[in-house]
Amino acid sequence: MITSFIIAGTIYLSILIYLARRSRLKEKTTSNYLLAGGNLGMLLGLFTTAATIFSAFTVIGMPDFFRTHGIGAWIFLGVADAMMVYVLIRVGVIIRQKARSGNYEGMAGLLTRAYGFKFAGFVAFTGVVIFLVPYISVQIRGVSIFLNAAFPNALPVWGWGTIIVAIMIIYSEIGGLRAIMYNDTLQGIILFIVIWIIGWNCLSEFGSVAAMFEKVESTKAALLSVPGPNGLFTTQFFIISAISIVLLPFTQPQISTRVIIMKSTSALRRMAIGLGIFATLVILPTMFMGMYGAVLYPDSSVQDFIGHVLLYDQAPAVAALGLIGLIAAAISTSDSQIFALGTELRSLLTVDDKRALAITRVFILVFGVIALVFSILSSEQLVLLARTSFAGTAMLGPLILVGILSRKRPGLLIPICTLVALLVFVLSSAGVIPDRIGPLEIEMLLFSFLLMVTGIELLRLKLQKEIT
Amino acid sequence: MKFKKIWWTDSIFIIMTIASFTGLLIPAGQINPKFVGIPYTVWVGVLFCILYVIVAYIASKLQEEGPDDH
Repeated sequence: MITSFIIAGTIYLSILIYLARRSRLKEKTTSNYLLAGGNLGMLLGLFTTAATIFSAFTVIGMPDFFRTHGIGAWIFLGVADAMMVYVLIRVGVIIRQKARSGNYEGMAGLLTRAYGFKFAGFVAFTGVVIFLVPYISVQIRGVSIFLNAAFPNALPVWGWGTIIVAIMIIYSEIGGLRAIMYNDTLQGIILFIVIWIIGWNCLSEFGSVAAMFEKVESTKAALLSVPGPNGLFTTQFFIISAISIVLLPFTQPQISTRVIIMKSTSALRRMAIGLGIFATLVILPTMFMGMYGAVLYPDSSVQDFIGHVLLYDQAPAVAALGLIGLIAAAISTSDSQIFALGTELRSLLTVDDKRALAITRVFILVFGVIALVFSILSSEQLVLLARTSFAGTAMLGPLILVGILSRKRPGLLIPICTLVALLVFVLSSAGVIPDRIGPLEIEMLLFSFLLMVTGIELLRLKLQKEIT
Repeated sequence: MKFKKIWWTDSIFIIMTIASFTGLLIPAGQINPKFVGIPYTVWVGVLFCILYVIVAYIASKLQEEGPDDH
């Protein structure tokens, strides 16, 4: 397998370098470096957004989620992603038009202008830093551990992590967002092909879909219904997850940037429909992989199970492709997230463009190093950490949606309450305060609190309008 | 006219979203009725995904053209 991996890896790296060189910029400005000229077509938009959303948690996390908690994982991600497509079409179009009517440089800067004070932008920036950095780190760590296990004598875990971060930083520095998007397209295609080859192989083990479910039913029937054998998939879990995922295109800057820089409204709509189809087709084979694991490796560790399903149970060429697919999935999400943190920072800077861009490029490197350090320290709960990241940034939803969509300038209430909600959620995630009160989970309470605050603020704005 | 029609897709979306969190899609502990051997929540879940995308497609057709659509 080593030979196959070296060949596939060399081809993969060569294409990455070629694409980075092709998108190399002589004169870097915020518009061409951070926003790729703001002219994203449907196909490039589809693949870059899909590759950004479907990360290592899709390749490693989802099969394990299906294996451990059962078919409710389909509702958790598949149905929630399909809901997201509708909201993206209805709300995303309006947000894109509003954002582009001014000088868009990033969501934090847009909110600063919408609210009329910097505090709103800082709350948004704080939220994305807090909830994106751990998510980036856990992906780098997941893939690094896996590579270390596949090639035990080659490099330590931190060595693989450093290589992955270095690749991301180098091509981000060379070509900016356009280089990232070209590479995302390549990686999205690799991810799609690899996950289907492996998923198909897992399904072939049983002969048919019906035979697969029959076998799972005889092994552990609880996997085939909700709430699953561990009782994870409650209605509340699904509602919190759906809110978090539906808001992703507006609350996670690596996705909202792509929505806003689509070249036309119709390109955005077509991209959204394509995303819905892509999501369904990508999640489906992870279910086959999970059911395969439920029958063959029900009690193995995550590492052991993923090792078998991606590597040891596959032909050498497929295993090498599996490794490349895994690296591609992790890199295509992490690079966009690190870069988006830089873009958000840039949108808060008020110095001249050249200086702001120089500062941003330094901070993209800094964010990469922070993510690398965190990756050496972080845990391996990939799906649940991803969900925490989604839920954390979803707390920014009211701040972003009211700020952009409101015709009148909102006050301090929503930014302050959002900051309080973020703080409570961080303390709850760290175990300092309880993660539920009575039957309600903390996310549900915080979403309800922010919804109530939004209602109060909208009422205040309405009354203000009537008085004046 | 299109503006009015799009409320139909919004209504369908809201009804489907509410249904997604009820026993219609996620009945506790229920595997049957199966469809070609596929457990209930899986095949209804896939059906919901397809329906959501179809409703989104119809909504995209009913939306007004943007200022940058030519």
